Order: sequence, then C-alpha cells, then structure tokens
Amino acid sequence: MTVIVFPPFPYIIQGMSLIRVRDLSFRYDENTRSLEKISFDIEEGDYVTIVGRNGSGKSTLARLLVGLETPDEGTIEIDGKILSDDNLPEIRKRIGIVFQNPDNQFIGATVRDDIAFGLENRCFEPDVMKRKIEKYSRKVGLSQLLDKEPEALSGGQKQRVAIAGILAMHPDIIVFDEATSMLDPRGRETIKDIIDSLHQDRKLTIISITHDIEEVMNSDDCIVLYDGRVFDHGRPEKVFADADRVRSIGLDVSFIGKVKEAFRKYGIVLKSDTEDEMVGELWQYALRR
Amino acid sequence: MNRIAFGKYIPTDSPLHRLDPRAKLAALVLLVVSVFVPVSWYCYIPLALTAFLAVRLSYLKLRFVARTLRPILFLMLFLFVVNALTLKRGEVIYEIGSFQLYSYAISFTLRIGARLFLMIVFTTCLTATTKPLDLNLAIEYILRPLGLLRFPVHEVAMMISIALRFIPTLSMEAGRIMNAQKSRGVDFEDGKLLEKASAILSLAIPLFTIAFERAYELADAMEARGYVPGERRTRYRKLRYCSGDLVLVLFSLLMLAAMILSRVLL
Ligand SMILES: Nc1ncnc2c1ncn2[C@@H]1O[C@H](COP(=O)(O)OP(=O)(O)OP(=O)(O)O)[C@@H](O)[C@H]1O
Ligand SMILES: [Mg+2]
Repeated sequence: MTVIVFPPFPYIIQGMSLIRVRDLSFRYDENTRSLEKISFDIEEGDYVTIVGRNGSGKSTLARLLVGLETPDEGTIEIDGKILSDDNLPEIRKRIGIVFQNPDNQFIGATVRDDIAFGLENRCFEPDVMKRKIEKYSRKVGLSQLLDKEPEALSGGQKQRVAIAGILAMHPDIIVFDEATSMLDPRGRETIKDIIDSLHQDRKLTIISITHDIEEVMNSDDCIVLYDGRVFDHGRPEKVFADADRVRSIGLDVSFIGKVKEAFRKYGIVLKSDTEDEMVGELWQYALRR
Repeated sequence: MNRIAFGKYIPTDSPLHRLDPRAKLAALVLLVVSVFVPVSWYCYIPLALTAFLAVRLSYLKLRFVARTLRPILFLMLFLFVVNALTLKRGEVIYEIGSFQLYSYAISFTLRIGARLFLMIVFTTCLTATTKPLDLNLAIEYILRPLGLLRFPVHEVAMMISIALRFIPTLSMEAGRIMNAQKSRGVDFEDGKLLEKASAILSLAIPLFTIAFERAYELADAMEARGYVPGERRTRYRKLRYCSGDLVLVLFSLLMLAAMILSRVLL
C-alpha cells in the first residue's frame, strides 16, 4: 500500500517562514558574480542583520528582496508566494526599503509631500493621507517639521522621513540598506532607536544591512555574506564569538575608527570619538605643524 | 548661487500668496497678452497701475523687483543701439556727421522696454508668491486636456516637480565641487577664455556624474515605493478656488478686453 502525502509536505515539518530564499544567484554582468546560490529563512517579527565587507553582495540581496532586480536563478518566497513579475505589485505593498543616501530617496518637495508619495501611488484619498501622515510623522518624531523642505533637514531627519513614508504604507517587512552609515553619531542613534522600537511591537520583520557591530549584537539573527555567499547565519553572539572573526569578515568599524586607522599608518594617533571632536583635533594637529 | 532674483519664491503671507495658483497663472497669461496689445501710450497707465498693485499685494520689496529687472537694462541698451542704426522713421532728433537719430527709434525702444518691464513684473509677482510645487500643480491642471491626446501630463508634471526638488540640492553640490576644485588650483574667476572653459568643465563633469547617480537612486526609491509611470494615482495636494481667485481672473479678463477695445477704437 502506498501512502500519498499531500503537498506541501516540507511546510508541515518546517513551519512556514515569512521569507524563504532558495539557491538565489545574481550577476550584474558576465564577469562579476554578485550572489551565488544563497539560501536562508527569515521568521516573521525577527530583526535580522546582514553583514559583510564592501562588495560582498549585501545591497544586491536587498535589491532582489524588494524586486528591483530579478534573480538569475533561484527563488525568493514571501509568505508562501514566489516573487515574480506578476505578483510584484502585490508583494511591493508588503515590503519597504530605506536606502543609504538620505538625499536621493527624498522625492516630495516637503516632508508632508514625501510621506504622501507612496500613499498617492496606492491611491489613498487626501483626507486619509493627511491622517496617516500625521500619525506616522509623530511616530518618528517629525510632527513639527512636516512643512520643511529637504534642504532644511539633517541627514537623520531625512532618513526618518523615509521611514515614516514606508510605515504609512503598512508593510510587513522593512529593509534598511546601510540607512545610518551617512549620518552623524546622533542621527545614527535616533534611527537605531526607531528601528528598535519598531522591533518591540514584533509586527514588523526588519532586515538591516549594517557595518555597526553594536546594532548586529542587538539583532535576533545575523547573516554574514562573504564574496556573494552565505558565510555564516545564526544568533549574533554565536556568529561573533571571537573578535578576530569580526575583523576577518571586514566588520567593525565606525567611520571614526576608519579615519583613526588611516592616520595611524602615518604615525598619527587620534583620540576623538565623535566627528566634531575629530575635526577639532585635526585642525589642532595641522596648526601645530 | 543666490544672486538670481527672477523666479525666486519669497515665503510671506501676502494676499497674492493665498490665491489659487491656477487663477494666478491664468491672470498672468491674460495680463501678459494685454501688455502686447495696445498701440496708444495712455494704455500703459492702467497696466502700470496694475503692476504696482500686484507688487503691493504680494508684499514684495521694490528693491527685489528692481533686481529682477536689471538684466533687461542691458537688453534695452543693445536694442537701442540696433534701433538707432536701423530705424529711420519719424523726426530727426539728433545728428552727428552722417548719423541721424530718429524719434521712432526712441519710442519703439521705449515701447518694447515698457512691455518687457511689465511682463517681468507680472511674472515675478506670480513666481514670488507661488511655490514651484503649486505652480506645477497649476500647469498640470491646465495641461490636463492634452491628456486626451495621449500627452503624458502626469509624468511631465512629475518630472518638473522632481527637477524643482533637486535644483537646490544640485546647486549646493556645485558649490561644494567648485570649492574642491578651487582648492586644487582651478580658477573660476579670471583667466583666458580657454582656461575658463576648462574650469567650467572641471565643474560640469563631476556634477553630471553625480546627477546621474542621484537619478538612478531616485528612480529605485520611487519604484520601491510603488510608483509606476502612467498608472492611476491620487494626489495629496488639492487646489481650491476662493472668491478672490474669481476677482483676479475677471479683472485680468476685463483688462485684456479693454486693451483690445482701445486698439480697435483708437
Ligand atoms: N550596478 C552594478 N553593475 C555592475 N556590478 C555591480 C553593480 N552593483 C554592484 N555590482 C557588483 O556586485 C558586487 C556586489 O555589490 P553590492 O553593492 O551588492 O555590495 P555590498 O555588499 O552592498 O557593498 P557595500 O558594503 O560597499 O555597499 C560587487 O562586486 C559590485 O562590484
Ligand atoms: Mg551596499
């Protein structure tokens, strides 16, 4: 007697992850391999960090996840649906992305207009938009700045606008592609706090690409990419058990750290911990010479 | 970068600021046409009064308006020279050697000057009291019938609003690049024509590279937020008429009618 097992059998064993990536490969052109047979799962409500050195394929992965590129091979499955051209508009509603450069994702003429941009695309009525804009700008602490133009905002404020614009569309997943790397320390902290508070609700799944080891340690799960492959995947404490490993993956190091390292090569030891201090210190050094 | 006054928005809360941009745009078109209709000198009196009123109602400083007018002085000077040499009608007013200056050359130059002057004042009153974004909405509204002919009205409006959004960003960028190039010894102020050209090239090339990079990233951001060109979308900003708008448009219509009548009758 044969037992007929109804599909999808594997789901019953594994449960269903929100995001399932299987054997995903992608290259921009013939010669460079940007991603090579990547597989991983991300659970609903998790805060996942993706780390790896420059050029390891992190941004490429993010672009594939939000459907800005199409996989060469392999699949991305979101909530049981395989991402394809047909369901892309549907899936886009569920996933938002914050990019690195605060200036280049500010579309509207003012904060208000920028938050409205995504809502306009979803065909919300103006009064509904107004309510949402007020609600989500409050959530990221921008209520006072709604009528400001982008030139009047700091980088951190612009990134908050981007986050509000995405939250207003009620996504299930938000991807941050080095969203804090162009910000000053204070801006970085506010964005990290906002990400944290979003995670508290456990309603949103957060995928954050970062070079910030502190943020990595704060996350539930960490995927390490190396040369277009998954090098390691697990709880951050485990992945980064030893410090040398951190370095071998090309992690750490804040901008300040990098500047210090560069100067150390020339025998100049800097002590500052913030950009402002460092500017002062460098001036003093230059004037002394 | 802040030296250009023409076309600049001045954020105050004047009566003209509060009017609907469509009404202001329509009034501008009507008034500019009116400026070009009359033949008699008297007709410029009501037009000049209207221009004065418009400046007052938009709370503009006369110094600001004067700055927007400066470029036409040079134009007038040039025009006067050309007219003096070519227009040989009316009475001779002045004579040196074989050259004679005719009255018509002067009156013609003055007439063109008056028209340009009024046109620029009216336009300034529009652009100084209307945010570029609102003006864009008005243009989109007025072009809407072209949509029936498959003209991509929304997309063009989107392009304009993004261009407006990035003008300050790119001009800041240009300033930064200029400083960087100056620190490397590029001289933007003096030098021969060839040197100047190469200095400008050293500004233009990085600026274009950056602009393209920005454009690609912006396109990604727009796509990721669900923008599909040509697809239906709602608009957050809605324009609203008030009674003031009606007054403005009626007034401008009357002005045009009066100018046409004066031309027919006088
Ligand atoms: N538009 C592109 N065209 C061609 N090759 C590209 C393009 N974008 C990235 N690549 C290549 O793909 C590989 C992965 O790049 P990706 O931008 O994903 O790296 P990353 O991990 O995000 O790096 P970074 O930390 O610098 O942001 C690199 O080898 C890169 O040179
Ligand atoms: Mg990247």
